[in-house]
Amino acid sequence: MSCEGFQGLEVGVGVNKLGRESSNTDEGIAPEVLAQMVARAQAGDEDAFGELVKAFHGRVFGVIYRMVSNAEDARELAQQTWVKAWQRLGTFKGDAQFFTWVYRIAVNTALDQGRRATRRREVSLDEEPGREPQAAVEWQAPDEGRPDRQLEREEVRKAFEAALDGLAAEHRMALILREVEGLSYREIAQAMRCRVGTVMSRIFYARRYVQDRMKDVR
Amino acid sequence: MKREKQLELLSRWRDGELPPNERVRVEAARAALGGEAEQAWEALGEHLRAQPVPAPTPEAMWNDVRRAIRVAQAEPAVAVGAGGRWNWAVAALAVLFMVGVGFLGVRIWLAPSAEAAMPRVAWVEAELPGSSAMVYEDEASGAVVIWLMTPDEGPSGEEQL
Repeated sequence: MSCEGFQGLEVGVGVNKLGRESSNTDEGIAPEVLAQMVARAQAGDEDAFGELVKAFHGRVFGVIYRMVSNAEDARELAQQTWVKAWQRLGTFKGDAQFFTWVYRIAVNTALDQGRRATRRREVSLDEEPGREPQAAVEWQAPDEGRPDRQLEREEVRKAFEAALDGLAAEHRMALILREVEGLSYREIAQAMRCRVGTVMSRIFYARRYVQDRMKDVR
Repeated sequence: MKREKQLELLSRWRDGELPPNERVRVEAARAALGGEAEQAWEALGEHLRAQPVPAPTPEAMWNDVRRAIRVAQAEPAVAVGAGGRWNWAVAALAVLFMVGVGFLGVRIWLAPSAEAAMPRVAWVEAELPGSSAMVYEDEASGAVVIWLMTPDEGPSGEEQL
């Protein structure tokens, strides 16, 4: 799938099929306030940049974490994202929303890490045939009162994680941006610097792949 | 193949990414697809959205970022300054070394070796039992000398070619 040059971000807010508002927004900060914060940060004001980090950190961390499934790695990558944003603030022209701009840096930072992880995993799986990928983060499913039900849910959760681990970084990222962040195909294409058609096929492939891996689980 | 195409359209329909005419077509074909894919995709979406995200506090993240920015600001100045001088010195030394090695190599290659300065002698089998022959090049005259030695009789002596 070829990724093409990108002609600049266009900001759009839409409502998708799932009823979630497209997340391409700037966290409810008034545009003029945000513009002032960005301008101060571009002038070298670290405190202003700190306000931007605090405002958008949650979503930047979220998208990275879902890609790498490891809190420490996600923290490191989120930090790298913000350092890159600080270093490149001069290139932000204000023609896109600030969050969209940071988001693209986060997506590409996470994608790079995802590709490296995929390569490492391939090597590791080659060395250890039969090894099942482990879910990186343990979490407690809601208690439904029945131990057997909890066990079943845990099995399903692990199966999902294993299936998602088998996806290439690009497929996983497209799926996350669609299912969790609620971005439109166009917005995903802009964030991942590829064609809308590529996004469409990546999401479809990811869904079919996971569906196929899950068919024996339930 | 047709089913895959329909599923692909269903995926786009689910994401609200179909034009109105295709939307109607997919909605009409949904029942025939059985709902299995839709259920699986919905479960996948729910799984992704339900995953808890252990994000550090905004203040903790900003502290990390501020520290990293300071380090990044400090590192390039040291690296570029020291690195620049070091690179020039290494490059100059490398060039000098390469030139020196090349020069030595050429000299060794062109210089006649001690072995080559000596007459080149080859022992050959002689036809006669007990006899032997020596062939060498005389450095002074440039002539090839064949020296035959026999035990009793037969050709003997030195013959110059």
